[in-house]
Amino acid sequence: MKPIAPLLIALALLLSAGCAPTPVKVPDYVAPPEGPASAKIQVRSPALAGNGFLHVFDDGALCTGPHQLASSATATKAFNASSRLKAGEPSTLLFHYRNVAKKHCRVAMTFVPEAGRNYLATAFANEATSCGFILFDITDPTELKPVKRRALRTLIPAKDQGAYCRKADLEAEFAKAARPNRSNMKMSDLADILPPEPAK
Amino acid sequence: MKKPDLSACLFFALCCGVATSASALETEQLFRKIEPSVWLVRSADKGGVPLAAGSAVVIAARRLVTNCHVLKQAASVLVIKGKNSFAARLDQVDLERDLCLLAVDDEKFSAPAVRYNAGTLPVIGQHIVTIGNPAALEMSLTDGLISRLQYDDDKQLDAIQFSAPISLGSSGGGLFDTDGYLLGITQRQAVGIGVQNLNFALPVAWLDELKARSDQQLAEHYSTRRTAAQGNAAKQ
Repeated sequence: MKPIAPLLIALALLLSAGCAPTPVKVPDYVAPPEGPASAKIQVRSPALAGNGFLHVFDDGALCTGPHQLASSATATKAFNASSRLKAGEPSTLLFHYRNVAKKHCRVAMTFVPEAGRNYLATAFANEATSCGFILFDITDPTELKPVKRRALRTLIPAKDQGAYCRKADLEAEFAKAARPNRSNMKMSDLADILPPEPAK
Repeated sequence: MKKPDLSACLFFALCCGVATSASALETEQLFRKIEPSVWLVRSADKGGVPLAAGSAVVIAARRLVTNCHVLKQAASVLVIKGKNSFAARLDQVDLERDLCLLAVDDEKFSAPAVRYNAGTLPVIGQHIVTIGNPAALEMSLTDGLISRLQYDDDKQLDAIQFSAPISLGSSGGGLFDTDGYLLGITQRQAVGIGVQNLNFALPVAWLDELKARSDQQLAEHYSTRRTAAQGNAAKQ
């Protein structure tokens, strides 16, 4: 065998590795103590045809300092976990799904947990690497109430110590999330035809 | 093997033929009834360069409702039907709901207003038609069903999902029941891989709230602008 062949194989392996996201070791999540400044969260998923991970960030607004709250131990297993979140400050949950072909899908959501409430995040994914999770307030166990004040976050490529989400004006994000499918126009977009101020 | 009963088949075919004709005729009548109230909207910039085309529905004398996104960046607006064209001005604006009301000051504009009942909710499965100007193809009629009613967190009707095809340019058009009553303003379609014929209209009940919400939003806008101007003046 000529020496060029192993070099080509090595180059091919290097290129393949370059295409896959670099695995980042994420430390386990340490929940705040139970008490008036925390809310409960449960995470559930059906059996996933791949691996699922749910991360929480030290800084929910900037998405820095990821910690692993739940994961499927092996591919095709469901995952379930119960924990607590700090109440009264933005908490960002990131669901990361890797299918059996090692394709990745990530989605993140920010909300402000209320003290004493009980939340449920149900994750889902499919083979086409679409994935997501729905967040419910289940404080009243007889009713699944979607959490009102939440915003989907724009993700950026993960870095070891860097931010996972675009820095956000969370009030604006929440306001946008509260008006799904609405026009994203501003009054300034109509500046040339805007009617005068209504008489008081 | 028993021969098919041709007389029964003929009877069935004739009945179907009659039924189809009657249904088509009804739709034709419906179109003739509501078409005069749906207009093409064209916006242009300060230089008169066309920006967008959409649709608008006459809901009162010389007042037409459309989607605000049709008017984005506009400096002038025309409402058009065939060879008739009228200048329109923005009279009310509810950006949060993407509803804008246009006023035509020319008294020659005599298009009839549609009928609507703000208290009547559409029903899933109800047969509907839409009239609009998809791709600026004036007065295109499509039909379908109410597919789903979308409610917000406060259990208020938030959007009407329907199966009649719409396209770019249909924005601001009318969603009507088979009696010609306006049910909604066609606003958007869901697009994406694997998505097919998921179209949405804004509830007609929102028309009755447009004036109050417009006043509120305009007051907030002008107040914010004044505060910003005062802040700038203080800096100088």
